[in-house]
Amino acid sequence: MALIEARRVSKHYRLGGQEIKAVDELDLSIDRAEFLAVMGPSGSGKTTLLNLLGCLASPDKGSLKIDGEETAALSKAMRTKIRREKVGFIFQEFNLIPILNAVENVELPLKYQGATKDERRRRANIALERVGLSERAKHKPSQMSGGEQQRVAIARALAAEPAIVLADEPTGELDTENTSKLLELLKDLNRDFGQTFVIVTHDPAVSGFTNRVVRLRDGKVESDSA
Amino acid sequence: MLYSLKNLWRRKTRTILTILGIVIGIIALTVLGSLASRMTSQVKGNRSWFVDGISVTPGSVSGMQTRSRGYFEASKAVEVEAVPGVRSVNVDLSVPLELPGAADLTIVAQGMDLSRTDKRVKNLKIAAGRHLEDGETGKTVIGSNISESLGVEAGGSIKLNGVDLEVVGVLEATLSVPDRIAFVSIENAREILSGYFPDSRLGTVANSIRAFPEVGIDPADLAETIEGRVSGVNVRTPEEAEKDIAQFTFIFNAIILGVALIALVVGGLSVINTMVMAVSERKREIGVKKAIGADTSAILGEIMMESSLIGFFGGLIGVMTGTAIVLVLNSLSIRNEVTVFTITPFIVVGPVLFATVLGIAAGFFPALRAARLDPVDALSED
Ligand SMILES: Nc1ncnc2c1ncn2[C@@H]1O[C@H](COP(=O)(O)OP(=O)(O)OP(=O)(O)O)[C@@H](O)[C@H]1O
Ligand SMILES: [Mg+2]
Repeated sequence: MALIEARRVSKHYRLGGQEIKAVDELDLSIDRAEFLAVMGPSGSGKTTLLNLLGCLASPDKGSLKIDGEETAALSKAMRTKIRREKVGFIFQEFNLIPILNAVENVELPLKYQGATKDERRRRANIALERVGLSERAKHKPSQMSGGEQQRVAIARALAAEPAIVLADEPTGELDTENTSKLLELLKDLNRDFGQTFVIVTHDPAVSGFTNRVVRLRDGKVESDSA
Repeated sequence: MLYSLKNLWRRKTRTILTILGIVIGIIALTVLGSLASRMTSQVKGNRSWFVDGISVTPGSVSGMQTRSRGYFEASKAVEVEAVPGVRSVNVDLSVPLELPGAADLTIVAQGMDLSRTDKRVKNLKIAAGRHLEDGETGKTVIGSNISESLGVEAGGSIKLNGVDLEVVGVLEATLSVPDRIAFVSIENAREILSGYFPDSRLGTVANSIRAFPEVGIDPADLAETIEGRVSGVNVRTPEEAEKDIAQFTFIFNAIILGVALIALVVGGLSVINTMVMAVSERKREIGVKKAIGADTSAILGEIMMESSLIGFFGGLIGVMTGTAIVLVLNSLSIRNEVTVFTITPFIVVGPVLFATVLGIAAGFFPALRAARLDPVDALSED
């Protein structure tokens, strides 16, 4: 059974009387431990799709099963629960909490899961180690480079060991050198720990890291290399 | 909590200004609160003094009332005592005096009929020495204020309007009327009074009779009977005295309540304003937190923790400042032998609790807004 199973999923926005089909009757299934790149022109619905897969937004129509559970009609609280337990997010702008240091940022999802202080710290340190930033644990985001901040954000997404990691243009704010380092890191993590990665990217180099690239156009899957 | 403090510290000026707004309200609350508790304790002290028994004072037959300044013959007491239902009477003569050696303190020389046990006096606690005994003249028991301002202890002596008196006892402070009373025999009181009228003979004057009803007799009914049978007197029942006191207390409580309400509205609105601003500034952060699994209660808790800390610090600083002001004012006024304010534990703890609860309540609305943010919208914010 696929980990994520989207059937004829739609998300439409109404903007000034005009209907925008951000995601339109889209079919997609993603297996466990896959490393999937989502590409497509601006406005093709990549972010919207990721928000749906991560239960940040709910579809207007269609069915979306995560881990066998139908999520299309779930309440806000239930969707929060799924995000907390099954999903890790990596954002383009890193989105670390500026007043928290690296390890405190990484602990955050564990805190929301109700882990004890010791447990939180232990697992956050493991996650930081995986992204190679153990020595920066006490540093604030403002004291780190963009590449380092994004690695902290990856550690945060991984800390609770979610089944799915969703990344929306995670390299968008990084230079080419950092971009390939980061993509390599994500691929290594995918290989070593078997989590499912869905990565939205404009970087053509990503095809060197994965054999599955999904291309979107106008809210639909234009091509799927799988 | 440390996290909330850090968040508050991100906007130092705004946080400090908001706290200041609460501080001002709480200062007002503390100062007025201690004033009120001073008043209340005074009223309570006065209560047993005034409320006990039916007070019969001189009135004029023509209807013109000359309450405290008037005098009547002590023989009126016999008339009052003859009224059915009256168990016993006390005859008093109180003489207002300026204290020699403490020019700004007005005291009362209270002449008592010592042959009768008078609960009102016996209820007052002696700090040093003893109460007056029947038949004693030339002796006095003085209130704490008189003792302090003249520096006279039990065993010393004072001179009132030319009358020398041996101080046999000093009363404990009551923070009310008895503190400024020198209790003497009624004969001595007449001597002291005659100091004002050296040429006239005052005979057996008095200016207040206290009538105590027999068991089972309604004081209000008895007061009416006395008024009907004895001419030329004003009669005040204990209930009337109670009512006056209750009204007095009520006015003060109303003032405190008013100040509390103003503090509530001003402080509450500024906390709401601050937290609404904090929430809109941090929309994106809140979106991130929701995305990574923060539920409604986590977001509510975060915002309300901050607003409660604003309230708590506002309350704490306000109470400390208010208490300091009260202590300074008290130490200034202590020379006049009046302490204007009384600080009770409730006055210290109450406003801090009040401000903290206010902070929590004021944080609720902004917190709810934060918790209801749509994570997708919040994340696209910048
Ligand atoms: N909240 C919204 N309200 C109205 N329209 C929206 C909203 N969010 C997205 N859209 C529209 O939906 C379409 C898809 O948007 P989406 O952000 O998913 O595209 P994208 O592929 O992520 O683009 P980009 O590469 O620029 O990030 C766009 O036309 C966008 O304008
Ligand atoms: Mg996008």
